[in-house]
Amino acid sequence: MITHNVDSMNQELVVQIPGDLLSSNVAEISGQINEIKTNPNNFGGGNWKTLTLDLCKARMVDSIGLNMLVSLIKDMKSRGGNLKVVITSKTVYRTFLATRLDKLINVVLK
Amino acid sequence: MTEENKKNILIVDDEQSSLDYLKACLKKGGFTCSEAKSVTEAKEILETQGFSAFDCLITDYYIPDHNGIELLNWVQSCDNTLAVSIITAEGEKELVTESLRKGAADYMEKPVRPNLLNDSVKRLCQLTARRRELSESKRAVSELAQLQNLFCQSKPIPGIHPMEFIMIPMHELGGDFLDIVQLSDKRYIISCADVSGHNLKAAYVSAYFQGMSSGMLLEGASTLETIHKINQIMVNDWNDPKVKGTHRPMFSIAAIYVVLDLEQQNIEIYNCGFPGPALLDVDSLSTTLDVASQPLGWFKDGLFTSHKTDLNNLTHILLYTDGLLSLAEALEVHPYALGFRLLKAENMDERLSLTYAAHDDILLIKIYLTDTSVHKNSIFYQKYSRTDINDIDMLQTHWEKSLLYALGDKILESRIDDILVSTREIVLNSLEHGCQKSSESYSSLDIIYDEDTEQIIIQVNDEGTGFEFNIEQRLADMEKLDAISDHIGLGLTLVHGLVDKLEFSENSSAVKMTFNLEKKL
Repeated sequence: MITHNVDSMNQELVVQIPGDLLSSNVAEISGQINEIKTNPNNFGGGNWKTLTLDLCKARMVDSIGLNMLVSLIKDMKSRGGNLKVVITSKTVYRTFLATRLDKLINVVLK
Repeated sequence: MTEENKKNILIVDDEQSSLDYLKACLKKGGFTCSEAKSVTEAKEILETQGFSAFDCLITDYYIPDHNGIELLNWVQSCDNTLAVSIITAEGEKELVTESLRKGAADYMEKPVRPNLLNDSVKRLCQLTARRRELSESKRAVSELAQLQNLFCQSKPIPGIHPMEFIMIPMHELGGDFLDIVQLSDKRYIISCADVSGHNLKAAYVSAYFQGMSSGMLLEGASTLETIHKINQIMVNDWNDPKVKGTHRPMFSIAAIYVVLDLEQQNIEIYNCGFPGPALLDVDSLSTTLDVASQPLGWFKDGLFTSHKTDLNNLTHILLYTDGLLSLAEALEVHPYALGFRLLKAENMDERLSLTYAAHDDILLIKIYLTDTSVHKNSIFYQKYSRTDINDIDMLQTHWEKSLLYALGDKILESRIDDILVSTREIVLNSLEHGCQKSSESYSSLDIIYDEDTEQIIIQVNDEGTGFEFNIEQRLADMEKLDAISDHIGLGLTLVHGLVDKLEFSENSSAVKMTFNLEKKL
């Protein structure tokens, strides 16, 4: 189950993803993130600039999951904001390095 | 005097009057009696005359040097077939309960009435006899099991190749057999069979037909003649509906005959209802021969055909009974992963602990076809069709469980995630694009563990025409966000970053990934 919270001080919308980002669940997760993003209650007084995906529970992200992240990067750019992901998995980190997404996203490896 | 009345009873009581009374009652009932006035004396009598000289023992609970339960414990530790009854004073329920809990076959309360005494002793003697019969049967089964084990052990193909072999019967005796017949210097017939059932009956049928099969082949009968003869005897004699009163086969044998010709460099396989054997090449890539006839004993006019293939670069064959398949299914791992663990187990105790959940006999044979030592082990092989895409999470779980089962602590968690996500990408890619959306087209996945290099090798092959892929161009494109438009290239780039070696062949319709087991970062 996806949860979220708004960090007004840091102007971040933080979305917690419950597990892996894979071909079998990306459509559902993407839809839910979109709902959260477009909910006016989540804009924290208009100060929301960064979308942070908490992927600490993800062991892996496949190419469909990466595509979702790419869409979010594009979306955030168009809004004048940015995307940040927080991860713990070394496999996910290696995936970002391999696909150079680490250069396009603010990746925090915990 | 009947046989029953000749039973010999040992009575233990320190009171002479009680002894005299019990002896008189039992003699009247036709029993012969011996007496002891103490536990020490009773032990001496049993040790001197032997436990088998007595058919039951009756002891008073209260005996000065010990008590009845102590005597009972000692008897059970020496011979647990001899039935013991303990006499207590009236109303001593706690002693009665304790006696029964400790294994007494019966109890009697004083004053003991003659008819109740004789009835009880009669039952006790019957119980001892039954226990002794059972014990004798167990001993006989145990001896047979040792014999069966002896028959099925140490079966190297003489002077040439080693052969790994594991037989784990459900009980002491099983219905599986393995036999090797040498026809000439370079020609052998290896036969394995799985008789329906896994009990003494199955073991008997197994031994009968193993002997018959071996004898016929040694006397010059062809494999096909041997198969037909066994089938004929099973259908006409063993499963004759007139005799059995039912049309359902009472016995059947799933059997496989592998005719190995090292001179002609080929093998011919007759598969009669046996699981398809796996043929593995020098890289341990699998081919499963799923062509099989029906088991022996089903139909009179059974049609038994063979499959012949050149040895080429084949290095070994895996044969296994469906006992291995059903246990692997219960463990939710691939049969090869289970087979790998069983073959690598150091002793029988370890094998038994690995197969505690088995519901059938397990027979597993790895036949080496070359002198070369092959340390590449297949731990997973599966063919997938496009419809399997919908179950990709389930397939991934199957790979993960099989890998962890086969390799356990050898593989780090972060490494297994690298392997899983890469395999997922390549398999999905292969099914989506390599199979060209055709339901008739298949992709195969091999997972191999190389013991020498401590590497996992994943190979995915599809029947498509392949495609051109330039990894360097793709990496350059990744720098430009707008160029990221398809997940095929993204997936291969991802895989490229996680593997230690990525190789494409056959215009990328064959992808081989190599992972070192140690952590990469």
